[in-house]
Amino acid sequence: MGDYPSSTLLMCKQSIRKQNQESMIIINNLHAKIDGKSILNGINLTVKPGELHVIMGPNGAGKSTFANVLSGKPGYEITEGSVQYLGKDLLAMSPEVRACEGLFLSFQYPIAIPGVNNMYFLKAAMNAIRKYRGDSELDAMDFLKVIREKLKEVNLDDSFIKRPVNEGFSGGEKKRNEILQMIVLQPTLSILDETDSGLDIDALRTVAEGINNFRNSDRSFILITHYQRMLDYLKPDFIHILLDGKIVKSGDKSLALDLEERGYSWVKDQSSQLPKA
Amino acid sequence: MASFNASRQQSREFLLDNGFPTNKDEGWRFTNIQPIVNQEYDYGFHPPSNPFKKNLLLSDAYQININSGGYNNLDQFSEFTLTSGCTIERLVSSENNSTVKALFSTIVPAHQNAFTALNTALFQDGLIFIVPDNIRLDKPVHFHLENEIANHPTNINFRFLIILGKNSKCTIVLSNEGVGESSFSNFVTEIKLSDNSQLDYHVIQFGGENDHQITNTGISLEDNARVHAQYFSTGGKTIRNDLTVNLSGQGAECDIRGLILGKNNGLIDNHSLINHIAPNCTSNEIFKGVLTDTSHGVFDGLVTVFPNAQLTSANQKNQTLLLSKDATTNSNPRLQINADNVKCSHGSTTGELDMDAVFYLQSRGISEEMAKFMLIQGFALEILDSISNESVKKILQQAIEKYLIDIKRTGS
Repeated sequence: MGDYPSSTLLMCKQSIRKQNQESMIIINNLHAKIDGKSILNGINLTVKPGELHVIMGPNGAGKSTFANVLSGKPGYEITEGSVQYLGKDLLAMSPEVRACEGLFLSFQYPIAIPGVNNMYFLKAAMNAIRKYRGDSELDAMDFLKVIREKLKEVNLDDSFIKRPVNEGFSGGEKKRNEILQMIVLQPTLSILDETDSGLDIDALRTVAEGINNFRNSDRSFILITHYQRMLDYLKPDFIHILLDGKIVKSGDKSLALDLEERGYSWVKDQSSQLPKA
Repeated sequence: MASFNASRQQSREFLLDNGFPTNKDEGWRFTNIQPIVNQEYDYGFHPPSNPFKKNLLLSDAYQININSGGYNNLDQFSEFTLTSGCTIERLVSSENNSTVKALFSTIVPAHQNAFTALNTALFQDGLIFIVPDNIRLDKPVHFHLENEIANHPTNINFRFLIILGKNSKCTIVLSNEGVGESSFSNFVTEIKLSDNSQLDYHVIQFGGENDHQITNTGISLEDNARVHAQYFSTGGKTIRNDLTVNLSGQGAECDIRGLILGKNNGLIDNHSLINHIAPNCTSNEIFKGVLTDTSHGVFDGLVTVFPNAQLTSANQKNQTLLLSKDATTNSNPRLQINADNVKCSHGSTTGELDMDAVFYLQSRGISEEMAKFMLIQGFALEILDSISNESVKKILQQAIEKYLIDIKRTGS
């Protein structure tokens, strides 16, 4: 009789472990503050390999904070919760280790770095990651071969890599540069923070194609967006609505269409009727 | 021109009457020269005892080495004259040269300040370098001064008189590598650029731990002459550069760039005066600074547009990156406009490393330390963009890298 509960426990443990192994990232009850102000108030989200999740929500809901906290930007205080990434404690890692472990953030506002050209920057990044993984570093020639191929995929010409990082780039060029970095660095989990904002129709298609070509059954994506338009190209698996630092509603692609039509107010009305956690 | 002896005597009297400036004097408010003037110096010649260091050797240049006021390769002058078509002569033996008679102490007045007076009173020697009309030199001419390590601090007062003839073109590098304990070098450089001539002028200062370097430079430009002047200063106890550019001929252009890399408790001070005297001239000036430890940087630049100088275009910029909270900078960009149809701008920024940019690099897998290294390097390297001579560029790139490795090692 005494065996029975312990074997149940074992089964539970095994099932949890299996679930962990199958999941790319498990975000559990994540709370975060900045300057004493609570922004994230208990986010739960699990992403499996190959999945594309979309986070939508009104301004100030905590979308960018969520992306920043996952990528390790300093200045945030994690007050509760945990994040398991590929079975490891993500929150204990420095930003560069997260990147080396395969996490990538496409910035909403990519930073200009005068005096550092794209080539030098991308080569340094690529080699830092290769070194971390125990691969040999690429020399300038090998790197050039890789980069030339990738430039074509995002419709940028060779002169692009000689320019200083994001310095004097148009909005569209900055976003394409983010996607270029993604396909060069080959992350397993990409967090795309409003990669579609500020793009004209052609650039939107180029960026969406870049992401689509990069998708496969091992790679996952969390896409933050305000608009439905990029989702027409990307075919997301899940849509989540973030409100006041919590995911209040999840659904499939049709949820985005509902939002487009009805705005966030109906979600707010619904969520205000929910019992407070 | 008065004879050398008469000039020396007048300058001696000027110095005795006026003394050295203190920080109560405008122009010297941030420049403490007490460590320089409260020191006894040896004025004798020190023949080189060791071969010259090769840190500053350009791969393909006419190299003239100067050591404590003497030369180690005087015999090379004649060879240089033969191959280049230019002339180079010692100043002390050229008192009766017509160029010297006409120009000595006219571009940099002997009594511009105490240090020009000191130089005029005590110069051990100098060089006259003349590029004749229509001569366009393919290789840079490199004057290199290396302070000999002596038992006693030495003071070197040295002068250059450089004339570029009409339609001529030349790259000149003046480098100073201080190694001597408490040595003090005091240069006066007078440059005349005739119509349509073009000069790339580099001043490279690698200060030793405790040495002092002072330069006073005057560049006078005639019609459509162009100068690209580049100052690079790192290390040292005191580095002070005064530069006056006179755009006297129509259509003349100057592009002045400077980079200072300060560390320990060193002071690096750049003062400049750009005078738009004739119409249609263009000046661009940018000085950048990286300062760490308790180092101190000064930029003081005045651009004056004379009443006659219509259609002037003038830009002036100073940018400083402070890497420690004890490093300080004083920036004073100034414009004085006395003509109405001109385009002028100036500005100054001082800041710390952009931590958002550090995070951006980290988010791509680059370590925090490497990210900072890349950002400082990028900030500094921008100033080298317009250098056309690859050999000069390489030396400066290496010097930036060495500075960055040095400050990383000392943990600042």
